[in-house]
Amino acid sequence: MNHTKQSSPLVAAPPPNPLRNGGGRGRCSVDDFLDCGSAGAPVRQAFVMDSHCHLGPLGRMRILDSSTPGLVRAMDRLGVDVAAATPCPACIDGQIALGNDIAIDAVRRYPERIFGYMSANPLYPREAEAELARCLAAGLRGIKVHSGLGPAYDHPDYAMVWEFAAEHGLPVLAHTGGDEIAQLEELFIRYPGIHWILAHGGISDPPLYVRVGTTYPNVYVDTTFSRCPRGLIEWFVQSGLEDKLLWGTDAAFLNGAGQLGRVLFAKISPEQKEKILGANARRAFGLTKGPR
Amino acid sequence: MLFDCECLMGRPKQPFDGAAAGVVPDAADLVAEMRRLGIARALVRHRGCLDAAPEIGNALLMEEIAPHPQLIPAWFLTPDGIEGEWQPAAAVEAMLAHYHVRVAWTLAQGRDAAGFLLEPWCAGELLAALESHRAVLLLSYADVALNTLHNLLTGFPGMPVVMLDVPRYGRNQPLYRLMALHRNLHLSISPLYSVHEGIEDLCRNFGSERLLFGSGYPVCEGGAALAMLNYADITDADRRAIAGENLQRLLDEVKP
Repeated sequence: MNHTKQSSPLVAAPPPNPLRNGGGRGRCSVDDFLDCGSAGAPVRQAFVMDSHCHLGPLGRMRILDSSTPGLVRAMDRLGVDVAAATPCPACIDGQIALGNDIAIDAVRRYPERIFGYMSANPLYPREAEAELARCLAAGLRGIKVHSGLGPAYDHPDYAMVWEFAAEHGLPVLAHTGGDEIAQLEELFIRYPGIHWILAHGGISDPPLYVRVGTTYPNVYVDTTFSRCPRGLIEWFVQSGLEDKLLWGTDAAFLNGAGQLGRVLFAKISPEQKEKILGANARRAFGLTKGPR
Repeated sequence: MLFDCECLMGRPKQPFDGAAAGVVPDAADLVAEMRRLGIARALVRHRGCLDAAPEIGNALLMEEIAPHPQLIPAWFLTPDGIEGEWQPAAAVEAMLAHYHVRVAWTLAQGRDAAGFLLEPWCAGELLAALESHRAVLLLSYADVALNTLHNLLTGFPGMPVVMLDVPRYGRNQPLYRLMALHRNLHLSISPLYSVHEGIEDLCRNFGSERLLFGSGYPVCEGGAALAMLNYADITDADRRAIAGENLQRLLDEVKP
């Protein structure tokens, strides 16, 4: 285990961040994540990456604080080093450029803390291609797709999005909850260079997440799940996903502390918790090589 | 001290499968979970009241928790009593005086055909009996229409109601309105209330005294509930109130 926080993997030489050194209500013992959860103390003994969170408003749901500073404040309370954020207006509501601009602004304001996802609407292919290129140039380093946008993931028009991700080595976070995995499975094989992250692991047909996560080296499963089912994290680990689970909050919808508690209090080893909270994400997001 | 307001024990008709396979949510399992998470006491309902007759579930509850003083019973009551006769007031009297049970729960219309209409014109005798003792009524968000909830909170302002299974819909406008209108409405803060900054916002708007810690046992990971409370950006006094003081106060205020 890493016993102390390391520099942010998003930048080569991040500036000192006073919020990351000694803030909060206490420090954890070296390997006891339970202590953190019990004390409400930020996790400091391991790299923590939120692989799935959101910025900006969503439709008519009254999200309480979906601002970038609000997200960073919440990250500091929990001890989250880096959050991979996708703006709701882009990935779900179809206001693509407006939403992507929120992510671009977040990455510029917090380059050491925010990993930005971009989104595109493949049903407008010419716009989509230009938008992806614009976002890549502006510093976004992943793609978020959501079936709520309309087309199924195996819709032919999505091919340009997958080609773009493969060409530039971008991870793809895909919302799941219904039959999305069936739409994606052929793509796992066709694009072995893409790291596919399946959102909301276990929300429907949990064994399916285990099967694809253990079958395909390029498939990861994120833990975000509003209902916080008892035993699911442990069951995933026992089923072989120890190196494939990526922790996430689904903030600013869900309560990030609750999602963190599912891992901190899980009946698994501290080493397994460290993998789920961040070590696996380093690999999935390609963060081990330093600069973004 | 953690005092859990949202637990449903009892073996389900069909065993859990998947991640929860092998879990039997009996008293031993519940007590073990409480020990693991540092929960001192728990208010407990019994699944038998849903799967079988309420009186069977209530009897099973009393029998199974008897060796565990940290488990506090909540009885399922129906608007027509529990013994097949129309005597809800007598049922409440017996629950309080003979069995020393201070908390009731029931289903309203919605989940299945065995639900009961809790509108005051239909369930008024039961609700009046509960109110006269300040006995606590637990209701699930999914099981009661909000208009009905408004009507019973209006009609029986001396009866504390605790809403279980509060969902995750951000700033839930009708729920906020009900909280503003009714001082006798309380909310269980369980993992299902997975709202970013939600606990903080509820405390800002309504104070902490009507929020209660709920683990969501047996279907939720109780550690999620614990972390939600422990990491909330609220005062330690508010945290203690939600953790257990508020539920204890409600029980202390019941007039047997």
